[in-house]
Order: sequence, then structure tokens, then C-alpha cells
Amino acid sequence: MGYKDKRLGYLMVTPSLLIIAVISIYPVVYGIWMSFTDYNMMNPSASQFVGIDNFTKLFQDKMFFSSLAYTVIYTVSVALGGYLVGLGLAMLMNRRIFARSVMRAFLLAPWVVSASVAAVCWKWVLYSDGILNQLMLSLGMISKPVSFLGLQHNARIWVIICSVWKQFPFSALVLLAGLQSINNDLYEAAQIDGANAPKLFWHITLPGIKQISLIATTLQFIWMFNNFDNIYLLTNGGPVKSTFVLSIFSYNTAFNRLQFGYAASIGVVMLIALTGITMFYQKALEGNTL
Amino acid sequence: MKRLLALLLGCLMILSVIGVAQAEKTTIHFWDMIWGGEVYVEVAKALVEEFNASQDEIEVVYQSVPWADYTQAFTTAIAGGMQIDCSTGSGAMQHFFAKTGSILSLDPLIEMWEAEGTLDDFEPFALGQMQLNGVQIGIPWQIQSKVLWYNEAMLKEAGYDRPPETLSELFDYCVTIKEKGVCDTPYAFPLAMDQGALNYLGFAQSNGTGIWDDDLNVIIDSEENVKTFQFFRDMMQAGLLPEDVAALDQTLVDGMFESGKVAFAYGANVAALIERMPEAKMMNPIMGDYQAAPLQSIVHAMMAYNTTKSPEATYTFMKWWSENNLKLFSEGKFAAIPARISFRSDPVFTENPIYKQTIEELLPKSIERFWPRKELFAEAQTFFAENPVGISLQEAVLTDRPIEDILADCKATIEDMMF
Repeated sequence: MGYKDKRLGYLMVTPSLLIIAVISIYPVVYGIWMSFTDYNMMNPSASQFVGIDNFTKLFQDKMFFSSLAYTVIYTVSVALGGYLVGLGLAMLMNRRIFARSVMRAFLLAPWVVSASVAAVCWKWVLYSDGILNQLMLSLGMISKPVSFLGLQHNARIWVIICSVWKQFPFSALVLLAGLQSINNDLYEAAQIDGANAPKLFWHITLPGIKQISLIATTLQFIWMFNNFDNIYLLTNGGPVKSTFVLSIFSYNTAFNRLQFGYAASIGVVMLIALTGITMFYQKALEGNTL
Repeated sequence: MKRLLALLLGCLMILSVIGVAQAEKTTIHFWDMIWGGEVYVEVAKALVEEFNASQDEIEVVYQSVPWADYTQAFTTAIAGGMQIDCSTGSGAMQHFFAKTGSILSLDPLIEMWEAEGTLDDFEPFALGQMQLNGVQIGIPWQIQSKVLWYNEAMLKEAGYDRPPETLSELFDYCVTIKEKGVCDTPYAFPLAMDQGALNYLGFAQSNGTGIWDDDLNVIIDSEENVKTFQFFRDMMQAGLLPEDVAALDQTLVDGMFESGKVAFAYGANVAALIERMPEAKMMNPIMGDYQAAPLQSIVHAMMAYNTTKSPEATYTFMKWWSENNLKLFSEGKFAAIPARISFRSDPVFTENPIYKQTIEELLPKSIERFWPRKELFAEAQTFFAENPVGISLQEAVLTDRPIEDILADCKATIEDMMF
């Protein structure tokens, strides 16, 4: 490639790079800077550099560790649960079943519904006089209503279930695309050699969708680690802060207490944790064949 | 042809003059919270149009603001330099933004009304609450009372011909209602959100205590607060509250009350409720050990911001809006009591028994929202947004942890929350 071609190439990507720098890199750098200050958005000129004070305070904050613990549990559970449910449904949709195109459209419904609408619907389903309790009572499965969101342990589980419901269509969609790209000849050849269904799945299907699985779960992991609306709208982080996650902690600190510097430090820790985990996860998957 | 050309040129000149005149109008951006349904927004927009039509030099741009994350919306807009001249807002919002130096003094407006001799049209306790260090930072425009509702038919079925008047009576009524099988869980309140803290605060004030004393010292660990927390724990342990009370929001509580699943519910003094449910009655404030049986009334105000480029035009609009917004209540179906006493002679308030009861019996019993603290303060906004008392009350009803320990943690959180 000649110098002129290279220069033209650089020129052509420059506008995109500038846009990325403005809307993506600048806020990250600004956020990192903010985490070393006592920044107050309402009076930015009064902000002062405070060194690592925000981080020192953060690592002494009990709320940070309890939020981090549930954030990790929530992220792993939803990413894994969403992947497994999505994989199962993608495999079903990949078969020649009745009304496949209609079912594919329905499959996307939870993902299309806005988080606020989904949260209101789930509340109505799950509260003591809600549809689920009424159904279970009428079937004789329970003798009195179950408090799905009113008890800490139940709320932790149901927040995850509701988020899996909201997120699985994404996994199903991309995995279905992955499944459709696997050459059918591979299955036919293996069947002639006597491979049964589990072997076909393990030796052909899973390796065939490895890359797409990596992308799907990594994205789910990032989205769920940062997720705010699914939980905030459903439980507001309660009861007794049992479903409090780092994003809600950061939001409260910034907009309710106006401690933007401290809130930024929570964001920076989330960024570091997420970058580290994602890199480790990608490295681990790249090094292994499924 | 020449005549036609001259006519066209003449028209163009007139239009350009009008255009220049319009361009010279001062634009005021008014952010109004969505206080009611679609009708409210329509009536509010029509009111703004009415104002605009009456003005040659000011044009108001109306913006509806949803309640979801409204603090974030205002904070970001103000910090981002967006022009908000004035707005309506929740109870302590003006104090919250005043602390950050974003609120414009409304003393000139007060002086205007004083000069006109109409300042006493405002509910006195409401006007006083909207001051900070002697400066008027909000103009009260409506008062919402938080009350206990009871289902008269269910009480009769349980053998009662009057509502309970004290906390211990309320407990006994609930026990009887449950024992007689009238309903399984007699009392519901929205403990999932900040309304739970409001409900608690009302009961705490009945018991002669609050969250802060008048010097802003946190007193949540007072003996009276321990007693009030114990009351709710006892209610839960006796099975008188829904097991998922910690997950209930106001909509769910309203639904339970209107469908006859509970006999008592905590909520706003919504007049329309009795049209849907004639057996619904509003209780007078409950009596604890504090003999005044106070009512918690929340004053909401209009405020102006330092981001305004034209304080004078903003004052002109706010004055007009304050004096002419009766339609928001009468036609806009907004369920609250106006802060202006003269508005209350409108049939919408004199003919509805709920409003009548509120104005005649309840409002005179109103105390400061954070009594024993008399003035509002910035952290009140944070207090409801972060909801430490609601969360502690959740812990009290869901766990066996000693209440003194729960309240010690709650006190530390509230102290940490203070700016």
C-alpha cells in the first residue's frame, strides 16, 4: 500500500475517530478525572483535587461491598441464565416446528418491551394478590400468597428471573444466527458415523457457535454489570437493600447526595472490574476449544 | 401589476415587522411536573396559551416533566446551562437547589403581593415553609395531605361504627377484622418507595417525635421512634400487614384497598376515590402519645432559577400563574387543595366531601412536614430519594434484628446524608 493510499485511509477514518473520541473517550477520561475530585455538578468551579480520597472512602464503605456482591451474583446469573434459555429456544427455533416464524416474532417480545412497562407488569404478576399467586392458590400449590418481591431472599431471585426473561431474546437471536451458519453436512456425516444427539451437540453445535456465544455472553455480562433500570424499577434496590447494585449505589450518590466525585469513583471501579473480567473471560475462551 | 407588487411588498413588510416583534419577545421556559392525567396537561397548556395571548413581550414555553428521575433531569439541565426559568416541583426541591445556589429569590414577588394586600390569600404555614434564611424561595401552589383511608362497610362488618382514633385502637381494630375473617391483612401501606417513609413519619409525629429536632440533629433513635417502629413490627408479626408490604407501591396499595382486600390504607386525599368506592372514608389523624393528632400536609411550590435571563419576565409569569391556576384543580382534575385560600370557595372544593373534610377538619391540624423541625431543608429531598427510614422500616418488619440497632444504623446513614 502506497503512502497516498495510507493517507487516504487515515483521512477517511478520521471523522469516525473524532466522533468516538468526543462521545466515548472524552466522557470516560472526564469521569476518571472527576473521581479524583470533590466535583459538584451544580458548582463545577468549586471542585478541588482530592487525590485518592474517594477511593479510600469507597473501600471502607460497607454499602460498596454488599452492592458489589449482589452485582456479581446478578450479572453472572443473568448472563448465564439468559444464555442457557436463549440457547434452548434458539435450538428449538432452528428446527422445523409449527408456526416457526410467528414464534420467532414472539421470542423477541420481552426484549422489545420497555424496561418500565416490563417492571410494572412483573409487579402486578408477582405481588401478593397478583396473577402468579392467584394461579398457584387455585391450583392448590400454595395455601397462602407467596411474597415474591417482599422478602429479601425471594426478591434477589425474582429480580434475576425477571432480568433473564428480559434478556434471553438477545441471546436466542444471535445464537439462532450462529446455529444457522453451521453446515448441515457436518451433522449428516456424524450421524452416519453413529453420533447420538448429545455428541452432535457437544462436538458440532457448541464449537460451531463458540465465537457467537463469546460475543453474546460478553455483551450480556457488560450490560448486566451496568444494569440499572431492570432492578431500580422493579424493587428500587430493596427490600432492605437486598437487590442494591453498584449502578444504583452510584446513581444515589450522584443525584441524591450530589457527591459526583465519589459517584465517579464507583464508576471507575466498575470500569476497571469490567475491563479486567472481560479480558480474562475472552482470553480463557480463546485458549480453550469447547 | 405594479399595485399587486406594492401590495405584496406591503404585506411582507408587515409580516417582517410582526416577525421582529415576536423575535424580541422574552422567552420563559416553564417546567411543570405532571401533577395529573392527560386532562391536567391539556389545561396547563391552555393556561399558558392564555397567558401568552395576554402578553406582548413575554412568551412562555411549557414543558411537562415526568416524575421518573426528575431530580436527575433538573440537576443535569441546570448544571448543563439549559434555560429553565421557573418550574413546579416536589416538596423540598426548592431547598435542595437553593443549597447549590441555583434558586432565584422570590422576595420581589412577595413584595408585589404585599403591596396589593393579597399576600394573606396564601395558607400561612405553607408560605412560611417555602423560605430559607428569611428569603422566599418558593411560592406555594397546592397542598397534599397524607391520610389513612378506611372501608366503612368492612368496619361495620367487624362490629365498629366509628374509625379508630388512637394507634392502639387501630391495632385492636385490625386484630378484630382479621379474627372475624372480614379480610386477611387489614392494613396496607406502600413500603417499597418513599411513601413508606411518609406513612411512618405521620405515625411517628402522632407519637410525638420525628426524624430531626428543630436544630437538625437526627433523633431517629429516640424512644418514641423505637416505640413507633415496634408498632409496625407488632403489626407484621400479628399478620395484620401483607407479607409483601416491603414490595408494595402506592398503585398496588390503592388496588388492594379498592378491591376490598384491606380495610385500612395509607394514601393521598384523592377526592375521586369516593366516586369509585362510596364506602371509602378518610380518617382524621391518628392519635399516639402526642395528643395533638397532627396531620402531615405536603406543600408543593413554584420556584425560579438563577439560569433565567429575565427575572422580571419570570416574576410576571409566576405571579399570573399563581393567581390564575384554579382551572388546574377544577378543570384539570388535579387532586389537591390549593395553597390560595380564595380558590377553595370554588364548587369543586365546597361540594366534594373529601375536600370539605380536608379543608374544614384536617388542614387546621397541619403541622410542619418534618415537625419538630420547623423549616424545610435541602436534605429533605435526599431523605425521600434515598429513603433510609423506609429501608429501616422494611428491616424492622422483615427481620428480628433489635430495633435499637436498626435505628442506630439508620441514624448514621441520615447523618452521613447531610450536606
